[in-house]
Amino acid sequence: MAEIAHRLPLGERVAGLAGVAHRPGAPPSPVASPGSPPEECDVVIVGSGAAALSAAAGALSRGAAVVICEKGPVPGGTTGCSGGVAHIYGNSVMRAAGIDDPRDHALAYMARVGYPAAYDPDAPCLGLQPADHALLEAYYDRGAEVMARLAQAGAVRMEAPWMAWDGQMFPDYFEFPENRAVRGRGIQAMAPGGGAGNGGELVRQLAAFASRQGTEVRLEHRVVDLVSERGAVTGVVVDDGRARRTIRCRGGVVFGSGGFAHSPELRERFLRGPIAGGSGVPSNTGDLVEIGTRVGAQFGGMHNGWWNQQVLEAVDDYAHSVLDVWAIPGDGMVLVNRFGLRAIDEKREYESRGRVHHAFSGDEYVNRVMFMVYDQRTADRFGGRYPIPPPETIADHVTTGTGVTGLTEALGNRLRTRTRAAMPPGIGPVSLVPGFADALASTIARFNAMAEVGRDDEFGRGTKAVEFAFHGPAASDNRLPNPLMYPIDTEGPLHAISLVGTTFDTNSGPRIDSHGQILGASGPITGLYGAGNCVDGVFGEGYPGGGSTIGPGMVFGYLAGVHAAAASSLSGSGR
Amino acid sequence: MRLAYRDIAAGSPGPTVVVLHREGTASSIDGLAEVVRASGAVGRVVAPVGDYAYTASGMEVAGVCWYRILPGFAGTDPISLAKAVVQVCDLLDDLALEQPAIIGCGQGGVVALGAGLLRAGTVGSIACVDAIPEHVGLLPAAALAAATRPRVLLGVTDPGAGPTLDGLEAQLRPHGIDAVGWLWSEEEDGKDRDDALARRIGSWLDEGGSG
Repeated sequence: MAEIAHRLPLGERVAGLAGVAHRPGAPPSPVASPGSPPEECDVVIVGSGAAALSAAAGALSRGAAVVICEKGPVPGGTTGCSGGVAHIYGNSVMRAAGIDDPRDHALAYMARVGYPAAYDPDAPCLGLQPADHALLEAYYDRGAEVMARLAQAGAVRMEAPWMAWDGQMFPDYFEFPENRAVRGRGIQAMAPGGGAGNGGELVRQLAAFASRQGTEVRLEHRVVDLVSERGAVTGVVVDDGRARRTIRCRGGVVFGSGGFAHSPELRERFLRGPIAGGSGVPSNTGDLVEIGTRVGAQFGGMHNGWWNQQVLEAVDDYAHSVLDVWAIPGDGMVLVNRFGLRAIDEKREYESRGRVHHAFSGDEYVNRVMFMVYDQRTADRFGGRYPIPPPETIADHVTTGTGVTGLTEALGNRLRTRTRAAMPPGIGPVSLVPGFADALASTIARFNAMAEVGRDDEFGRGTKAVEFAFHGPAASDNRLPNPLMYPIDTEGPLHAISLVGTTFDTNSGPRIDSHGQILGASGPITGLYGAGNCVDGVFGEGYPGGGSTIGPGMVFGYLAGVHAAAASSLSGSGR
Repeated sequence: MRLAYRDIAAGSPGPTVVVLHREGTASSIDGLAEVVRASGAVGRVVAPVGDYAYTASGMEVAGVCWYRILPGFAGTDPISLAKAVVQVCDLLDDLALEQPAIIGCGQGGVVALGAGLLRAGTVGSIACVDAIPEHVGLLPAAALAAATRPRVLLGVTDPGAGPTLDGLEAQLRPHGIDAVGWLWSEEEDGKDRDDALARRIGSWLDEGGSG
């Protein structure tokens, strides 16, 4: 193999080849020459994902003149890379299916998932801070209503159920007693030809609605600062890659600009644990953190994100892909740490698997890197389901050895080549403990015995509906009682893939009220709004079910857009 | 992350061919590789797997494709297309193949054009089959402006699905890229499309000498 010159990270080379304006190291543009008056509108929207475009829809439906500024070179933000699911309580799909979603149960479920340490079913506000509880109430009370208003306005009909492979509506991620309606809260946009649309389709419909009202998404327009007068936000400064210009607005500025998953600096400053980065769009660099700080925003929990896992070799802060490990395929497979021990039910949804990397014990983050170990049968039967490569491929991210001893030797050798410089920021080098092979052999022996009887006494693998939804159809040769488990053959080849903890994006930032207004030290900052991943998440540290990212973004985005449009009307200058 | 790939000895004295599959599920990887082997003009087939974990249209976990379909932008995301082109270029560099041909189908055809043009000094010829013309128009400017031009074959075997020779040629001609066109015809080329494609690829590679 030829010697390869040192390469910049993949994402940086992609951004360079594609000519992306706001890429790492790109200098700020000069200020536009003075003389021409600034552009004026009612509402400025920052971003073009579900939160931002729902805000645009809210403002446009009230007749406001809107400008939409998207930093990235393509519209849609992380929504556009997603399944486009919104987690909405008591939605129209549930009502049509006769699924009851009582308010008290739903609030208790959200509170328990989002604030597990504070949750107390017998305490006022369920043990939560009143403001946090009020946001959950607003989310329950307004969620289905906002979806209906978006449909009435002609923006998007979120009326398709999110379905699993088996024809059932996708289940929530937790099955607490508080959760009365485990299925049906995930809804998607109705696609033009029928059926459910993904995140790209959701963005297309919302952007098309804006376009019909005369508003286009302005790409590569990065909002770099706010304009304030007497404590109220009255405009933005935008860098379009050529010049910086001011846009003034009468009603307000709504941020739907994403979190800071792709800012190594902000990750290090705010997040706890070894977080290797994000799998959302690379423009999620936390612009609102700096901008909000300048205008005195009150910040909420800055340590929260939507956790998941990525293959170690796939981590790249600017890679323009959503290469997260959405589900871990396979039945003859375990996930072990450097001690050779399991740490979680491997078939859980991505959020729970992502959080396992944050565990600290003794002197270290014990699950900094987790190794997905599987046998040849699993490689053959589940090959092609990422991250297991298709059969007979040469895959750089897979380490193979014969039996436990062979795999341990091969994996140890590989890890020794991964110096600190070769690891993602925040992870650092990792090695196997001296007794790894024996521990892994014991782990697999226990797993195999449990697989034979179909009961995982350690982590309860195969006991929750969501695991089956993510796993897909059972392997045809697995007729054991629990189709999510199958004995691992340690006589032949064993394979390992290294996984690290990442996020789709963070959901940490300024606090908002039930209108989406960003709070300052003593109340809302006039003219400043936020929704989605750029603000303090309504679900706290939790991820109740698929669509927990997009749902609150759409609901509070829409409400913010409506509020800002109303503020513009009150100023007497609405369109 | 380096693209995973299959490396198949094809047994003929012909060149090494890098095969870029069409979008779909993992089984789609095999189709074009088999067609290329059946051409009888290939010594070795290298078949990388697009690492975009989801299919073009959604979040199906068993899908493989090269780039993201995003409504607007002529139906796709040009940044993810640029990423796929860079990944294939990286693999070409890493494997240091001698004057390979690069053949792609569907999304793989678009990426084949992009990577083949960017690595024109290395790649001997390119075949792009059943690509969406509008996607070709979204290739990075640097690829379309490459000074050295490999031989380019544009093939259409499924005109009913959208791609047309006129459309593909119209995307390349303004950049001074002359291509040979081939439209599968049941009457002229036989009823079996894969057989016809294998024969056309075989003659294309033979016409190009070692690549």
